[in-house]
Amino acid sequence: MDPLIRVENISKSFGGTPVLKEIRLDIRRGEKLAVIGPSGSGKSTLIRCLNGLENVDSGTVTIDGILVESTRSVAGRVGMVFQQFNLFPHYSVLNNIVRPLMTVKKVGRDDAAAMARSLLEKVRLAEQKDQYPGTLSGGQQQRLAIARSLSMAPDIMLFDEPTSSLDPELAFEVFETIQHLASSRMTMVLVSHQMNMVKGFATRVLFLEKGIISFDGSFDALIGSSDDRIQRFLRKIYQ
Amino acid sequence: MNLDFSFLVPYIPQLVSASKVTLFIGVASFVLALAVSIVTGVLRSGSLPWSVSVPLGIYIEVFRGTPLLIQLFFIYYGLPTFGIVLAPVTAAVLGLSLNSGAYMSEVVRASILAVDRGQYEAAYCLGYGRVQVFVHIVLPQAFRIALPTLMNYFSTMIKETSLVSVLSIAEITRIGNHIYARTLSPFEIYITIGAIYFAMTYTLALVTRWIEKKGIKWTP
Ligand SMILES: Nc1ncnc2c1ncn2[C@@H]1O[C@H](COP(=O)(O)OP(=O)(O)OP(=O)(O)O)[C@@H](O)[C@H]1O
Ligand SMILES: [Mg+2]
Repeated sequence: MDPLIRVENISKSFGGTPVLKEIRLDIRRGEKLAVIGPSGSGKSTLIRCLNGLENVDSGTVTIDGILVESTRSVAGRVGMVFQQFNLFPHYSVLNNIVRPLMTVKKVGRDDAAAMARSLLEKVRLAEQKDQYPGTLSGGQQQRLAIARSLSMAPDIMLFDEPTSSLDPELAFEVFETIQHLASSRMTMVLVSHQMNMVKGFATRVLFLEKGIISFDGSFDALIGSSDDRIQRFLRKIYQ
Repeated sequence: MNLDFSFLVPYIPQLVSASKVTLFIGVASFVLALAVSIVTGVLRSGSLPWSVSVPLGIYIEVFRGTPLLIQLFFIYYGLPTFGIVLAPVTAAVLGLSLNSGAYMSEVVRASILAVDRGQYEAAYCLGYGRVQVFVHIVLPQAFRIALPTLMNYFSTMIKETSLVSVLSIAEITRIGNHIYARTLSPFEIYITIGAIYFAMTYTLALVTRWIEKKGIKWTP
């Protein structure tokens, strides 16, 4: 079967500094891929290339045969959850889901509201529907961001350190939400430093280092790897 | 010192109609300045071809870099040289709005640029187009950022209308001078004139506070 996401030899530099070096990567439908690696290794840049938030310097990304040239190419098909949530502060919790549905998908207000309510139910935010994002806890904000992405019915979800700016217990409720999603057939890519999260989530782990994939395999294989740099990284993270 | 305001009573009708003129010039100039600043500020927040950005830049620098009084004189006395003759009130509104429009343009531009990059990214990922992001996501947030400063300019503009008395417009500063010439009681008159300006700007401050508290329900 053809991979859903095909990354062919992509390179990317910022101001002359190479950040991604000839990356090749196939992601199959339904795969739950975790990307780990030291800070600055290019993890965010890599997943931002998958949905066109970054333009590659060379190489190609294709999703289901569609060449990703900008966010427009795959908008709606690839959802993204950011470390900083990026909710729309001027919309109520409900409207953070309703308005994009109306604006982008031209769904009528009533249908959009019904969809939004059922999504809010799923991420346990039904009671907060009339509040504004600024009044929610970090964990609630991130769950809302997840629900908002899901409203576009994406085939693929990208998560860039979704719990890194949260306290441990709030991180856990977001993790539970992601974990719940992971039981679906959706294809998911998660960048995270939290190894317990990676362990529970991933069917496949990439270790990215200085713009190169230096490990690609299961979580257990990662832990058992004899690669020095991986072991050093894991020790640092588990401390 | 004996303060006596009673001699002003016969002048009340004049003061009222002069206040109306001041208010009209202030409000009309602000509305026009707002339109000018939104158009130019929005244009300047993006990348423009130099054929647009250079003239806009010149407009803003020239109007911010020269005195309002000179601009008023130029529009009222200078433009007739080119065959453009304007009524005093029209010249006053044009001068005030172009002048404040130049300053407010920078406020609009800065407020748009202050909206977080992440807002664009989240919207693009959801499938918003460039115009949709701008209209639905960026402008409402920029509005909130710009509001207090823009209202401050409104208040400044009301006070600046006193300058247009030089175009022999019967607004309150000019009427105040008239009354002073007749009665020779500067203290009471200028206190009264000052109080009228203050009443206008203070009301505006209250309205601004109300909009910020009640009109905008969200917090960043
Ligand atoms: N827009 C940008 N402009 C300039 N340099 C950038 C930009 N985005 C990323 N970089 C640089 O590219 C390198 C890789 O960044 P990236 O954000 O992909 O790393 P990361 O692995 O996600 O790191 P972290 O774990 O800290 O999030 C870093 O050195 C960063 O400074
Ligand atoms: Mg990152």
